[in-house]
Amino acid sequence: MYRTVVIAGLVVAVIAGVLQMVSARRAKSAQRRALLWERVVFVVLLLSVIGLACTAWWAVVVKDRAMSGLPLLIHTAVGGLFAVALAIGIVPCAARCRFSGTASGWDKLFFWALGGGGLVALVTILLSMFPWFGTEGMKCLMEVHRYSALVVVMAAVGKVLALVGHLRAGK
Amino acid sequence: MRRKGHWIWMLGAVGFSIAAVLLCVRSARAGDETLETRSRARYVHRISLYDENGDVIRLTDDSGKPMDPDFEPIPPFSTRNTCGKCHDMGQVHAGWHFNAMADPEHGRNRPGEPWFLVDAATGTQLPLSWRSWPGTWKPADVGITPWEFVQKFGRHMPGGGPGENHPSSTADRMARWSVTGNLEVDCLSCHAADNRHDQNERARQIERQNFRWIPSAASGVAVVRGEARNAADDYDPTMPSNPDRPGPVTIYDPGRFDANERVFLDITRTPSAGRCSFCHTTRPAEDAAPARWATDTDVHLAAGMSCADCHRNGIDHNIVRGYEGEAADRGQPALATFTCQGCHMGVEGADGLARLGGRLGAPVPKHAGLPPVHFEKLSCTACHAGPWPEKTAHRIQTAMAHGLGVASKEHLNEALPYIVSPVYRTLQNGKLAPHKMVWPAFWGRLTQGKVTPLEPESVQKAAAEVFRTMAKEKYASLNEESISKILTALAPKKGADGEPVYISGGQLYRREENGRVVGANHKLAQPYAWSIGHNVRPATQSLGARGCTDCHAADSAFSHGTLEVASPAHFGESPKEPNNPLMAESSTEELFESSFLLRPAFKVVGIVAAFTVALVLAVCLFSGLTGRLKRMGEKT
Repeated sequence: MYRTVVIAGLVVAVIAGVLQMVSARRAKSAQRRALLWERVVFVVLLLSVIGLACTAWWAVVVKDRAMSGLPLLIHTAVGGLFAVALAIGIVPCAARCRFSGTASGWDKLFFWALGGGGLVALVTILLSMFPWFGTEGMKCLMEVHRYSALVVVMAAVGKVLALVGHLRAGK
Repeated sequence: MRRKGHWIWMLGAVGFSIAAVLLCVRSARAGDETLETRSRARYVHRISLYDENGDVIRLTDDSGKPMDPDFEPIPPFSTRNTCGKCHDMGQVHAGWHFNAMADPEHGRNRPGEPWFLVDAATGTQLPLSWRSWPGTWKPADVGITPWEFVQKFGRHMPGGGPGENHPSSTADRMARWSVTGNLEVDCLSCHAADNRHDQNERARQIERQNFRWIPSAASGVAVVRGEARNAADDYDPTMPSNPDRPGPVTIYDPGRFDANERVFLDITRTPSAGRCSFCHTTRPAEDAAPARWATDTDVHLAAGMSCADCHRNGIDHNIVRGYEGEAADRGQPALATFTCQGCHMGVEGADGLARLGGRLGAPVPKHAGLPPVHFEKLSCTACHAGPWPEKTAHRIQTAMAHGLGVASKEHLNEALPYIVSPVYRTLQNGKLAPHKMVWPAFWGRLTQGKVTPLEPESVQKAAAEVFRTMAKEKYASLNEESISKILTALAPKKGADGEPVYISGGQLYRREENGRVVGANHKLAQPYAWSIGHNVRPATQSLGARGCTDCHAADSAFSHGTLEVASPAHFGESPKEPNNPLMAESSTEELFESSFLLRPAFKVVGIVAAFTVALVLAVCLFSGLTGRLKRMGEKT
């Protein structure tokens, strides 16, 4: 089930990204250029999302088993990096991407998907580290974590494609 | 016309024959049915006793006078005929405790406790089983006939199997079944609720070869005097004994017989745990082990349950073993509800009550904070059953292997076989579980990579001189020098083939030309392990009750405990192995364990990050909403 949803989600993200790419070419962007530190944080965020997706999906999607061993260790370490990068990276975009902000509809969508999905993924995994939930609760947390993480990956894919569109339009 | 009539007759005859056969089959089936009262109330077994010929046991003659055993010996009663009057003994014989010889594939997927051929002098501890459990040897492989098997292990057998399903005395010249009688399935051995029933007396009668007298003697209905092992070969239990070589005599307790010559046998459908414990007891075999009074029993027994509450069976006596996968192995989905998980958590994907679990009020565990991956990697017993893991696994003894419960046996801690527990190994389903484990030790002949075990008696005979000069220690006196001498004594004579070898402690030892003994790994030297399900510890004493570091820590006995390779032979210090190779040999386990040092910091960072993200999103959401409300207000 999850495997199918992942594939479908990635297809949707790519389509959304391509649409955004096309629209970015037509409309001239009025965006300010991101500062260097913002770019660095974004790259870290992007790399961490890639790392998280690879380690998780290698076990869960490809091997169809729970994550354990080295992939789990890498996933956990990269997860920490993702949390920090998300918390820092979300701040400069917030003003522009709020509902009444100046960003495009696509950008707002990616912002809310990345922020909301990331927050849920973060909270679910933090909650599972405390002895508060039983087996069913833990399974539920893991499921929510998986799907919210998928939303994050979809947003990241869409955002990257959109950026490519912006860059090409800028040329 | 005449021809047509012929066909009608033929058809009529065939039809009649088929109908007759069907009727016979139906009536035969009806006869096989178990007689039951169909009530939950216990049937009071005030019954007549029958001997092995199917005759009623009577203490008085037709005139009411007591029989004179000197002239007409009263035979012992037979459980096959007494219990078989109402219960289908054919089905009982196919049950788990009796079918190892007749159905060796039964239970193949779950290796259980084997029997052990043990000989302290030759350092032999060889796991034997009639079942096809990889790592065990068939009794016939070491020349053990059903006759010898019953004498060696009958002390802890409830009868049947090799005790009844054996070649005749003519086929096995050492056997004296006609004198001793069969070792029948002794229903009372498990189902007696009477505290006078003495399983230890069973063992005593086995030693005397009084097989057919066992139910009478063990139940206390009779006293049996004399020994079949001393009786003449032509001994007939229905005839007065030969005064020079008297056989056993059955002296019934007249007080147990009522006026109608019936006897009250206190029988229970569900045997008490004490009955099972006679054969299924485990004790620590180390001087430093805590005293029995200081240890606890299984939580299920402490809660008032008995073994048979979970390990159930019908008249077929195919007892539920209760392991994961048994339902699939036996093609009975209902069995899944008798596993730990099925009972406590319900069966995933099942309907109705099976999904809910909670049989007999079994509590549903919380497993709070336990990542679900543990259910894929570990069996329930890994955390909940067996002794709490310590730095080194301990030597233990079992009733079947060491004859516990039998008063005539010595029960020294040093007695073979050397069994260690708890040892963590993976089950067939890939899950980690606690096991009991033993390294086979035996002498054999190596031919083209295959080892044929030698009987301990033949080793002793061939190397008699060596054994005479060996140290007088009773146990574990084999060392490199003595092994070398024995291997020399066993060197093949003309006509014999196969290099003599000694297998022990995971190694196959051979003698080099310079007299040195060298060991090497060999498949047949690998340890035999069988998983354990009990004693189940309370939840507060399960692994993980104190947190993740019960297992994921550098000082965790579960992950980094060791195991002494217990061998009857001594080659300096005993080698040690990791108790839990899956964890100890994992390349990432140490890294994972060290990550727990950073976990509190990780949580703090995660909480701060989550709080920041939540705050930013909340502000965006709030400002967006207020902006929209403001615009709506301006419009109106």
